[in-house]
Amino acid sequence: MKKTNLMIAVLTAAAAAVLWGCNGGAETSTENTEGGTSTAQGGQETVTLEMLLCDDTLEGGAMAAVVEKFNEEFKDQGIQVEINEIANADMPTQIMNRASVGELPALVKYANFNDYIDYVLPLDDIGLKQEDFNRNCTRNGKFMATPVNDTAVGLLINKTAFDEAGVSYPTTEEERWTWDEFIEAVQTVVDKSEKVTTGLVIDHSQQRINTVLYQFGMQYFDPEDSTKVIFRSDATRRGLEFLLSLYEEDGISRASVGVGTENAQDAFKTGTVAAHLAGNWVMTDYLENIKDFEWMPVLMPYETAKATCLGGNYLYAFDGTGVEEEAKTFIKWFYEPENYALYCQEGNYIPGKKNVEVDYKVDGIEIFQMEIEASIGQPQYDSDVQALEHSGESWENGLRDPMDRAIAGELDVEGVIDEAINNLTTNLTGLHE
Amino acid sequence: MGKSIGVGSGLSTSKKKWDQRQLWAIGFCLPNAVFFLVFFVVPAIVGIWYSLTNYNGLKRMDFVGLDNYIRLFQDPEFYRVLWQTVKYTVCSVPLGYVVSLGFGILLSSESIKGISILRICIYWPILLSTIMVGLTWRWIFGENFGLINYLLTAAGLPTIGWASDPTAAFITTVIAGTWSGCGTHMMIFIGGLKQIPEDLKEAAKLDGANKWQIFRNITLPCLKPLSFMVIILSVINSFKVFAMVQTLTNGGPGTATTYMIQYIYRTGFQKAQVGYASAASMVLFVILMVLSIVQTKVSSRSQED
Amino acid sequence: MKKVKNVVKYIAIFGLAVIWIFPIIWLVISSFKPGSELFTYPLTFFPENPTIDNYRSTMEQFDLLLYTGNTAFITVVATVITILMSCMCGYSMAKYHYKWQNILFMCLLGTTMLPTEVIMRPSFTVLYRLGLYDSLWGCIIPTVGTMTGVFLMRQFFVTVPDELIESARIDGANEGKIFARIMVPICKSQIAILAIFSFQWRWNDYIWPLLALRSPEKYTLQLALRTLSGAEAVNWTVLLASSVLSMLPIMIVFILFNKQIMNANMSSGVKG
Repeated sequence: MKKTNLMIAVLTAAAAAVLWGCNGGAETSTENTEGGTSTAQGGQETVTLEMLLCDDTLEGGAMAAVVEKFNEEFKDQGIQVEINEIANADMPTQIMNRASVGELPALVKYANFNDYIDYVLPLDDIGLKQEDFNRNCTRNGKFMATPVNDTAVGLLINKTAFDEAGVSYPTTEEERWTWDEFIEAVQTVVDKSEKVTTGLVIDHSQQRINTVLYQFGMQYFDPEDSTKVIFRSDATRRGLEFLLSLYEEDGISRASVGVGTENAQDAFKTGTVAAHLAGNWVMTDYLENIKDFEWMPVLMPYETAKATCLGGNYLYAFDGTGVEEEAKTFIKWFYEPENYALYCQEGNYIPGKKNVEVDYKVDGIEIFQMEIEASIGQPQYDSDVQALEHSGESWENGLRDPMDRAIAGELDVEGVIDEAINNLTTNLTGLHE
Repeated sequence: MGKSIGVGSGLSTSKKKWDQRQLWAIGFCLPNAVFFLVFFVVPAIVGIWYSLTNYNGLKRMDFVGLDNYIRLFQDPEFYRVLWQTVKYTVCSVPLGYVVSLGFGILLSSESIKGISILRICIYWPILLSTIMVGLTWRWIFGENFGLINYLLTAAGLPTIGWASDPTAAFITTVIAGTWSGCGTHMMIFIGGLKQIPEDLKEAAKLDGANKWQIFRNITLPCLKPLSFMVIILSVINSFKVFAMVQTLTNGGPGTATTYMIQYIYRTGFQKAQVGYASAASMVLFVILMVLSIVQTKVSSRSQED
Repeated sequence: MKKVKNVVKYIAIFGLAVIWIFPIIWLVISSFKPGSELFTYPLTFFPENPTIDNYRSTMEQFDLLLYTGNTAFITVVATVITILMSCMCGYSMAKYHYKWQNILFMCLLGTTMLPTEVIMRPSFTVLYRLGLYDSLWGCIIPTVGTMTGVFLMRQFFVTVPDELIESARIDGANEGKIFARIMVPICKSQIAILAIFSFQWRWNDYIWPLLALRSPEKYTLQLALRTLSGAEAVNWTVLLASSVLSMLPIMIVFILFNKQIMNANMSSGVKG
């Protein structure tokens, strides 16, 4: 009796599944979306552009909002954009696989275009110029991608804890801490507060490590000779020693966060941390998920220099999709002031394009813009050298990995420098010390 | 391989009948053999080819001979990761075996009321995806927001650096790995225990055997084929542990809990050295193959005894 | 006295079970905490302001029905094929003694030694050439030949006495009939076990869906869940809630098959 019941259940499930499969099959045969396809509809051709992206929903759905606007405006002109959102971790696999069989999407928003440069569509003829943007996207003389938003490294503090401890924090250039002053300040907060146990957490990210090192005067490439690596220097040593001292037994940070097994963002959210060296995008998350204390961005400390590192996403198109012109139309439309401002506003993004007025919904983004303006040029120079002269090569996390091991006690400062330079010179060609 | 000649066990009545039987045998195995060729042999051969090139996953692909292998065998990190993987396997396989067999015996007894609920509880972890297992344990072992450290603090004890102490981090991976894997094996054991004829045990009981003797002389030998399978599969699976550890510790602190697959994945996909990573995969494959052959030999010898 | 002993035994066993599943209970409890409470310190065991907002925003963010449907299709179809193939192959390997079968066995065992993670690219190429790209079948076909299934079945059939087959042969049954009429019915508890395994594997698989699928309307639950972990941020609240939701269907299937395993006995005609 029981057996028959089970059999019936299984068969029903199987039948339902098969029906689902057929249904799905029928659905897709009509809307076969390659990089873009055209379907004739009432005499008019509609081109559908596929836009591959990640993290949009997580960051507030800014692109979805702009695409909706586009689709509304271009309804009658036969261009529609369809967002295909996948996981950040899956992006490289997807792009590489699809490139290998010629099924690339029309548009992409992603933090990397250098690795796929052979497949990217140049954007010289749509009226956008390199000079309009903060980050360099010109490769071999061609403007390849648009920096759709910039991200900058900055400092966020637990305002409640600072206020309770009576410690002041800098919001103007004159008040900026040195690193020593900063350590003293957070130490006071930790001592006076019952809840706060950790002074500072730093994201597990090479960009964050670089930022601190730049503030100590570290340089990757010689400004006179871009093939010469000058990472091995006293400035670098001092910076690394300083960073490692944070993670020692009596340091102001936590080794578990330093090596990435614990997430700095999650730690900050517990309210037990005084300050977080982070990227500006954490603000969206904090706005949503921190309710029992106040926080705010403040200016970063410095040692010999003020520095921040720029990162961020790019919006670009692929070549050979058959819908290149329509993809260009979209990008051109996207950067019209009104549309672009909407994008930055929805996602609280720092615009990658210069001279854009954005009316933000949160306070504090201007602190990050101040960091960008105050920063020395070396970070940008180093990243330009890597992007322009080592296009398609990558030494991803070549410094962060030895740093992890140093924090765990497996390497010392010299060991980190050796490993980092080794990673740099084996992964990027034509370099020498 | 289907052409090789079958060895009849002396019972061969007529040649024709045996051939027909062999045809059936081939027919039964055919689907698996075809899938094996298409989805394993072909990709593996391509993988071997990649391991001889400097392929970066996109357009660059030049033949470099055995360079990747030479580099690999000179890489101290490779040996460290390999050693860590062996350590993980040595710790988690026996632990997993004992726990799953213990649960299997406990849960196959019908005398406990509410046994189905119990079984469902024990089996539950295996229903989670590997990523979710890592996620689940992160909430337990987290250094700041984790439950265990919170309880320790509440009890006035010092907290443990689950994430920053290499040994503690190693232990978390072993615990989580065992926890997530042992439901499967328990299920297999329960299935096996159900097949042991009750009268064998009854007879032994009448002869005055105690519980331990029954377990030692009847249960264990009856479970031998299944034990062999459980051990061989868990060795292979421990060597391949990946997604769970990636979510749980991300291979850290430093590289203290980075195991083979994560090492391969990191070099192959994050550093775009597909050629090098393929070479590492092939070495891993050879290691596992040798281990399995040894295990099979040992097991078949002990079965002959 | 005996009663006291029994009570202690029960408490011990069920206590153990509660500890065992505690991590999951903790996860489920956490999924009812609002985002601001998830990371407060000191921790609170039960949510202070229990909320189903996490579940609500999961529903809003995801087309759960679609993803669940896709995943269910893949899981059910793959499981049925897997069971059929594994039974046949395992039976053949246990009960026919040809030399090539040992070789095939070692070959199949080899498949477990190169995880798909490390041969993703070649696997993708094969998939594409077979025309399985961007089709749910692309998540099914490559996965149905599973070594664990064959192994499980083989190890079971090894314990089935040969006399059973011999006597059927003498009665004039052909090999196919012996398999279908005699062998399949006695291994139904093994089938149930394999069904649970296969269900679990396919339900939680993300590698093959990642390789095979391209259109959003074909995505599976696991692919969708992965989008919650971004470059830097993780949407914990939705991730917890959706993980709990994604767990429910396999729970139900497990409970269904669990009875099947436990009720099965070798007594049906076989004596060791």
